[in-house]
Amino acid sequence: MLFEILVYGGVASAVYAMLAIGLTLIVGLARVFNMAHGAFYMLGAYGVFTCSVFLELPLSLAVVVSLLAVALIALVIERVCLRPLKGSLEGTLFITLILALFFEEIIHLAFGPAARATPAFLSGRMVLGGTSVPAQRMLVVFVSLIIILGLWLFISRTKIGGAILSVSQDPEAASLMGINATRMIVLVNGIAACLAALSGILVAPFLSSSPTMWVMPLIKSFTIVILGGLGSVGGSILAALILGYSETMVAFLISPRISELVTLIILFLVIVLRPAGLMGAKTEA
Amino acid sequence: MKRMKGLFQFPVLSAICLSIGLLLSGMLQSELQASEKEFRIGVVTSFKMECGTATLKAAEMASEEINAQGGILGHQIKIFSGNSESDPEKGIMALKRLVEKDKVHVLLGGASSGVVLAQMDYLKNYNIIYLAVGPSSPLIAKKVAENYDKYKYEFRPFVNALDVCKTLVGDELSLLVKLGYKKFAILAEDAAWNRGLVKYIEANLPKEGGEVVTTVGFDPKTIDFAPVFAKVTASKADVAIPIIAHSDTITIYKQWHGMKPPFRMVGINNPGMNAKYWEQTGGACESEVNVTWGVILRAKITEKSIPFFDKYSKKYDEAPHACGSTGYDAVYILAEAVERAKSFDTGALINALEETNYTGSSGRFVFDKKTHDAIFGSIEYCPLLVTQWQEGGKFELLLPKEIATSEYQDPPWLK
Repeated sequence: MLFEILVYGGVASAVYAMLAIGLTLIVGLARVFNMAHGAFYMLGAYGVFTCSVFLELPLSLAVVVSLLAVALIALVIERVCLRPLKGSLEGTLFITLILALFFEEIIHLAFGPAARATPAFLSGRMVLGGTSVPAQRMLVVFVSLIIILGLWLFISRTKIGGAILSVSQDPEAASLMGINATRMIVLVNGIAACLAALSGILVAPFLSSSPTMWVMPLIKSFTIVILGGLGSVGGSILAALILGYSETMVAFLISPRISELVTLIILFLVIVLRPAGLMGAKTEA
Repeated sequence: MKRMKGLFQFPVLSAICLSIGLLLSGMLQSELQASEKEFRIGVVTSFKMECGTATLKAAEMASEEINAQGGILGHQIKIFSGNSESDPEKGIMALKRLVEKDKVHVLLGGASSGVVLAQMDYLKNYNIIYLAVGPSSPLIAKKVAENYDKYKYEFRPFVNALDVCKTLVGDELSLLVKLGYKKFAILAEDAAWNRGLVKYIEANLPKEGGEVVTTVGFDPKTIDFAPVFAKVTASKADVAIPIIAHSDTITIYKQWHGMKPPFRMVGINNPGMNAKYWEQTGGACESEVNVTWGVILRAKITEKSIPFFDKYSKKYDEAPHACGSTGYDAVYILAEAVERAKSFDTGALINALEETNYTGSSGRFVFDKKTHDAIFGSIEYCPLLVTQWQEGGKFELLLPKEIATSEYQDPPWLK
């Protein structure tokens, strides 16, 4: 049982990390709580389903097409909905929530309410420490590790990454330094949407796709961003591990019925005890 | 000459009004005469559920056939529909509209037990018969038995969940016990409908030689079943008995198939009771054993089963749902009862329906006089079917033995 917790907890943490990192970048950079973030997760999954099952594209091509489509949608949303409402927290919250509900309805109308089965990228199982794990689940862990490492290198070692950090820390100073903040925000929106879509693409083969699949990932993303500290990528990774393993341990050792409560309890405790999050600045009176 | 009063002061105008009046009354008379030659069936069901849409399609197909043969006692059947949206209040409103506005003569449908239980309270006032297709709650039969005078208008040519329990344990699980698999784990979603069923299995499976080693409950909104399957594996069960209706069963089977744990899946999977399930799960339902009823696969339950299956499949480009064949049979049961009673009178029809002995596509329908439930669970009446998806997407019938098309097969990784 312990090895199963280790493996399945790792899978959950990997997915949560990919979902949350994108959101924390947007929150840190653009100060926007994008409620459509979960919808990108859903659109990624349905994109691959449509491309591979209906258009009969090879899976790898289906992934690329789906990611590009979601990124394009995210960029259009940024330009048309978010940029005009810049500075209005309530405005961006509401408009992105409406968009998320809109996408859900579109998917519902196009595909119906029933869950859809997406083909797996890998079939077969791996036996680790006596535990049989589907290869598709291990793929999630490997891809997530590569993506997160790649993103960290991009942010910390490249000029553009440095520009993103500058804008997130002090947009005015960055602007004075000649950094185009708007362009950085557009880039981060695209990256965040792709990360969310990729999460949906990777889990769809074993979790199925349904029109309401965006809700829990959105709640978990926000929980992780708040737990980790707004704008902190390292904090989001740590928070993803905490949430992923907490849920898995509760599900395996106590009951699967109450594992979803873990997210809500953690959210409550963070807001009450440490609102700045694990790696955010402490708020002083 | 006395001065004419009122409209008759104006002779031309009054002549015109009189003519219009006569014309309208003639038209109205014709309308009444036309509707009197119609036998109106109101299909009140939930079009959110596949059962509902299948019931309507089947009712329309049956009515077309009967009308082509001259109708019922010279009356052409006309179908009207109302959508309950699986909500009791909306179900009552739809029922009222069908009776008061569309002036239907009988009702058919239901789909959801909660809706039908609410609608039953209106039948006596409207003096109208209701053939319930879709709801399986034992409470429906209990209502009729305990208050016959008020609820005698309801008849159910559909399965009672208690019949399903008996077939599940006595036939389906017993089959696995006879093959040497003795340890069972119950996998039940948290829902009111299956609590009695879980208790029934725990109490009666040992009588068949099986042992319930664990019962694992889960929230219907669960999406990751790895912990659930881990508990079943830890219990060393040979067989998991899924008792599921509202959960995402496609995900359950995909994950079961992906993880390939050392247990079989043999139970009740309500969403899986359709011929499209192989395609919906991408083949992950291979070796799943389920209990179902009606003509959902091309099997010769009666002489009428395969012709019905073929015609429905061709007409609607899909295999029928369980509510499809029972809905189709319900219209014929009604027609046959009217022919025997030689009357559309509700009282006469109730008596005629109680004497029903009709062989339809789903089986031979005989109603219990106390509960007005059709007898299900026996090859002599309407059999319950134990089905299995097998390699290559073949949907096979394991029981009853008399009409079986194949034998049980283990999951590929356990062979």
